[in-house]
Amino acid sequence: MDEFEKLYHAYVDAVFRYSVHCVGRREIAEEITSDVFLALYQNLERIDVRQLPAWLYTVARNRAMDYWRRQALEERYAATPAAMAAQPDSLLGGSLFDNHALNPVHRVCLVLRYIQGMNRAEIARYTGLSELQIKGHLQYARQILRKQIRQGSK
Amino acid sequence: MNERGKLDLDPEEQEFLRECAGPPAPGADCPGPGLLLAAQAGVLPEEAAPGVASHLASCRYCQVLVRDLKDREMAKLTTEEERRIRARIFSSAKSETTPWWLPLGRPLPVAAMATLLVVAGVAIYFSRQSTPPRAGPVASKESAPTPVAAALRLDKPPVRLPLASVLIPRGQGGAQETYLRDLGAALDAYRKDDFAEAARRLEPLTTRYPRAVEAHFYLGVCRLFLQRNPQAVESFREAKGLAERPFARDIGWYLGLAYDRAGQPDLARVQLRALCEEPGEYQERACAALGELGR
Repeated sequence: MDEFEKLYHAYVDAVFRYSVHCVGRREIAEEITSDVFLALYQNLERIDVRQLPAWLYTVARNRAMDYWRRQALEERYAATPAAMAAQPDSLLGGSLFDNHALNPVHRVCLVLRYIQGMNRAEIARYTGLSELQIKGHLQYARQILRKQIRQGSK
Repeated sequence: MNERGKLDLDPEEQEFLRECAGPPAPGADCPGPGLLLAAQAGVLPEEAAPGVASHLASCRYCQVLVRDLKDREMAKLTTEEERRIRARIFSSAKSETTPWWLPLGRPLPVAAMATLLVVAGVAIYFSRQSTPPRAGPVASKESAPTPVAAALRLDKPPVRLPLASVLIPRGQGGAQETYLRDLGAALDAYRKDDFAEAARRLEPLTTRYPRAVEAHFYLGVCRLFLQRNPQAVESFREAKGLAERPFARDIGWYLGLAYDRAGQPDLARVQLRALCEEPGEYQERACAALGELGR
């Protein structure tokens, strides 16, 4: 049990981060992370700890692939690339890219809200933030962009 | 799928988009963030992967989004998430037919068994918890919290000024009327959940009126909502040095939350322990929070 606890504390952050990078939605990443460490617990006596953390990432990757296989993806995204045209740049885009006044959290909220068209509850699923926090970040980011755009247009 | 046409924008957002963003592009169809990340990670089914990858190669918005979602701070495991993961592991392990704490054929020393029974007790606590603890005295606008982390949820405290803020001048040479007017403007923004604006107004107030405990306190709360947790700790520590009862209890609670979110659970426990031992509006919640921290 001590051994498991040590490994859990050593790797849980990294496995969660990797899972988020594979599936996006944080509650799914939580499930995958739990599955990974449950698998570790069940197989602890058989695993060579020198194989960690690679073994953990492999289990997480397999779980992520299972997750995506269960989604109804094929008919939507087996289409040609032309069916998914990129958003042309707008004035917003010009201010958004490589804007050092904005942190990643601000840009994520902006893009998910105004480009992807998500409401705050949906944004929360990908960011782990509360809806109040998202509202605050959007307000701050809009203020910054508005100020920069107005200064730029003078 | 971009559902921009169905987005519930408030008037300020609509004005912002008119001014800054231009009209929405017809026919544009960005895949969701999960798909974009999965395409880059190489975990999508073969049929779907090329389409999403091709879009990602050509859409700057999606490139920026993926880059930012993979930022270390964005993908960080929060305390609440870690608790849910831990509870799920224990719950699943407990439901297996073989007792997970008793390796077959190997007797355990008494001390080790006692430790494992305590851990099992914690697991049973998490697996049975189905309703959150009684809500604290402040109203929360958020939806029902996750049961495992309910005691340590961040609720927005209502505006409640100590009498001293009205009666006692806050700074050297600063007119009380000016202070209250400026504080009022900051707290107006706070009441509307505009934490960024409220923080912007409160920061200079805490410099001009360093003994204004309420300015430090509400600035700390704004910083918590803006996830500036180390700065929130600073604000609450300033406030704590100035506060008298009962305001000191509010500050102690939020300082505990700020320490927890800033990754300093030992210091969080100190604040929570003091509240748990003192009868008052935070006692029950602080004791529950100590139980959840339990590390």
